[in-house]
Amino acid sequence: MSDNPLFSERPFLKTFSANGVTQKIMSELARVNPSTINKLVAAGGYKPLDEGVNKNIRYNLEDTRRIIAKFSPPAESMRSKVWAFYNFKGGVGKTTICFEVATHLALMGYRVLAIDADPQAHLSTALGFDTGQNYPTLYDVIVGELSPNDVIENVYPGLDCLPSNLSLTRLEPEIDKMPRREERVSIALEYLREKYDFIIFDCNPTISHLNMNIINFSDLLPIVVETQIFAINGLKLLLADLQRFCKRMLLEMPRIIVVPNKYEERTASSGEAMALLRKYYSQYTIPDFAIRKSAEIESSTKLSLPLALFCRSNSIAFEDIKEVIHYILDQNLVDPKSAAADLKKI
Amino acid sequence: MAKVKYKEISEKLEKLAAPAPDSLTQRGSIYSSVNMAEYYNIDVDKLIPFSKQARRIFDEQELQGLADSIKQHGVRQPLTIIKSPNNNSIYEIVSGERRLRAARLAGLTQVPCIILSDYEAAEEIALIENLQRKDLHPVEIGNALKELLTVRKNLTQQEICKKLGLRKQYVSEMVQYAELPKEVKDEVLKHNITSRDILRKLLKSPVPLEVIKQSYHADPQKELPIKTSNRSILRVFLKEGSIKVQANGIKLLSRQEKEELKSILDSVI
Repeated sequence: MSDNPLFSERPFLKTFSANGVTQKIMSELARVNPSTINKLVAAGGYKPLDEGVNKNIRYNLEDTRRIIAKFSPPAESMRSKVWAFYNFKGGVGKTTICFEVATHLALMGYRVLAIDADPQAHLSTALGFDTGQNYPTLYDVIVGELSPNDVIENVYPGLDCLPSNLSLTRLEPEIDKMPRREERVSIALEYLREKYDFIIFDCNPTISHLNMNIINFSDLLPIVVETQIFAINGLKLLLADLQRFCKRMLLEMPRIIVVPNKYEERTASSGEAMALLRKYYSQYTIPDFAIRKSAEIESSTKLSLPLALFCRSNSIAFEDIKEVIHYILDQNLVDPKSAAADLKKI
Repeated sequence: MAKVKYKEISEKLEKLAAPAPDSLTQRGSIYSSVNMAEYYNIDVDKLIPFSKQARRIFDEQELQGLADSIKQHGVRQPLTIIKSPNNNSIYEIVSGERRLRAARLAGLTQVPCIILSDYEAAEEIALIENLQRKDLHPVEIGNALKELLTVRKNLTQQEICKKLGLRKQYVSEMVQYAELPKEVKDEVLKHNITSRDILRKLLKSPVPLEVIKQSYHADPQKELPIKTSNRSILRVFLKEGSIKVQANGIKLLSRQEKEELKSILDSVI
């Protein structure tokens, strides 16, 4: 990680350190009893951030990671390491969900790299970058042949970021001219699979060479959709286009998970949209699940704070994000028996 | 905990959001893609026979029987249709013309249809359906097979045999009939010469048209008797307690005569 003078001032990082994580939240992410966490904290001698009488004692991020990591499914047993949040419909909540997923995975002890592939650079903003600055981006990695190491910054414990800014718009016409133009991202970033447990892309809402590159490189595509009529129509088009692309590229389709977002129980359209998803896309969705519309998720990205660091104990936003993450992790676990069998073959 | 409440899907939303039949990735199995598709209720006035199909004769009585069944149970099996390339608001029936006619007889205004999106696949399905029909003239079978080979260029005769469950000699023989000169084929169809024995002779002869014309106008003593007068068609008798049937003569009957025989037998028993 370079000692970049462009953002030597990082009030952002200070915010993270100031907020910690409660034992209750840890137990939810780790999927264990709060008492288990309690015993672990006592045994490990972890010191809370605030020694005061505050009921919700919080622990710093490094310690949080160490604690939850003991219970998180091991990264080696994951099939899908590279995820891309893709949808050509804008404003569905891709960046928000991407932010939450990336940050919480890091909290669970994984080594995560978040790559911002959207020139609007909202993920980068959420992760603390001043996007008006002229720092290097994916453009410099692919066209400028800069090493990703020179571009990636650590934003907080367990989470690195390859940021974006407006210069990324220059990437699209350049990729078009390059040989093996759908593979530029794979070629440039393949080695990073060794360095990180998860690599997570936030794509911009288009069907572009860059996005096709990212899809080519990805193992899993979480597709965030709103629970609205046109959004479901968009999903149909997206899947058809994706199939066509993969077929022409002789590519295996990445695993897809459709994540319904902004669900509101009282509106009829939300219910209708969910019924449609259940009827035609049940192979891609989590059963009976949607991310509910909530004020907390909206303030989370605004404050650049992952939910775990500030949410209420009965937060529905946190509950939904947690459910998505756990579902994907469980779905992606390689069957231990077959994995062992594979190892024997090697 | 049921946090998601499902509501009924309106028709508009259904049309907007339902995925199209997956004809893109599963070219190999046309039928499975047809089965995967949902069906829509289409007005009977919007359905016309497939443009690439030979004319069909429908037995009125059979149709009425089907119509009665439809009145009771509805159309159980969706028709297979495709948007007409010439007229956007009309659909051509790839398979299911009989069902449509019967449905009309029964007074239905709409029938359930599976809409194919790939015209080439539609042609194939129509051809294969054609071939499954009974009472097809060998020349018609040959025409259909030949067309199937042309439509699907990467399909060999051997693959067709496997797909349809036919013997190799059968397929090649039929295709040879299709390759007879047009006038010969027309004559053969006109006079309904279905005897394969005769057809094979036609294949060998360098002047098949002459052969047919001669036989028609010549006396019955000629070598190629196409229409003989009196002969036995069917012998049925009871021998030592079991029923014995001699049906060699049926082969030599024309289609019309066969149907006549069928109705006579129906009335007898």
